[in-house]
Amino acid sequence: MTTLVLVDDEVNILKALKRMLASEGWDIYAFDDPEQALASKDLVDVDLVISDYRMPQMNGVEFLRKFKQQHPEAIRLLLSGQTDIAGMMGAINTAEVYRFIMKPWNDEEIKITIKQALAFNHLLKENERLAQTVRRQSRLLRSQLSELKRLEAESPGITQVDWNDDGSINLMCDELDP
Amino acid sequence: MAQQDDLDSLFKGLKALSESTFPKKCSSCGKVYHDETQFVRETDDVFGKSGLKSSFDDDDSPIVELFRNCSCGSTLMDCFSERRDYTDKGLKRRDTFQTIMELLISRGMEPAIARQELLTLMKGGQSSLIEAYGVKFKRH
Repeated sequence: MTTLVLVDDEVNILKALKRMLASEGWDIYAFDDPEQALASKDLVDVDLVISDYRMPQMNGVEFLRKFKQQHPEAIRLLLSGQTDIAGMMGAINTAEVYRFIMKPWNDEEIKITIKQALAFNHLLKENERLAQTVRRQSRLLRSQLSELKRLEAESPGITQVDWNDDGSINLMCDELDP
Repeated sequence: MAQQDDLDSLFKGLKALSESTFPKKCSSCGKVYHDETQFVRETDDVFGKSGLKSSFDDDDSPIVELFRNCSCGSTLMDCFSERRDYTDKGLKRRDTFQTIMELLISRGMEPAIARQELLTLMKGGQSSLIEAYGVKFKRH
């Protein structure tokens, strides 16, 4: 199940977002206080978080920065009703925000943005999973190569022996043929 | 006549909702808005636009969401029901009406008078009061 977190101090905006996203079948958690979102124990495997920028408890950039520490896997979007260049710079540099959404939003556009963000996040996770697999296989290969070197040093030529499946030495290999 | 009905229904809808949602308090600075006219008059545009957005309520009935920036900068929103015209034309008409209302209020006209004068004008009447405030209308 895809999990979304919404944070805005204006309850009506939270309700409007939830109404709009209800048909998508996502698991949605809404908070009108960013502190509550950070303290919530219910949030596990969050895929995406949308936060308002201007809130009384803390601004959206600060919240997203803290949320990122708790849920590094969640992609972050910022909602704003103001053109705040400093805030936007902070969001990009500090909280690594995927995209800004301006209020009032267009329902279809915001849904597309969220879906693109989720797809991007899925790619990031898949990329990380594949990178971990490659790292694990590299470690295994290095370990096997090291063992081969050790055996070769101990018994020169042993790594060149052609073994049969039953563990016996294959004396019928090409080099031994007359 | 139909246009008049639409305008009347718009404000009836706004009034009905205002009774249940106002006074409205900004959670950032604590400022209280006692009614929808104060809400419109004492808040700012969002990105230079009216802040009106069409949407649907939980029961799928059409509503209008109005986004406004509080003087502290926080974005506030309230929903208004509109019982009749919900077409693009209807939304544009509301947007225009709202813009003119805001203009008149910003120039010092009392909201109730501005609304009444505007309704008179939309009915095809004349309003020397509105024209005195610098708002000119094309006559067809």
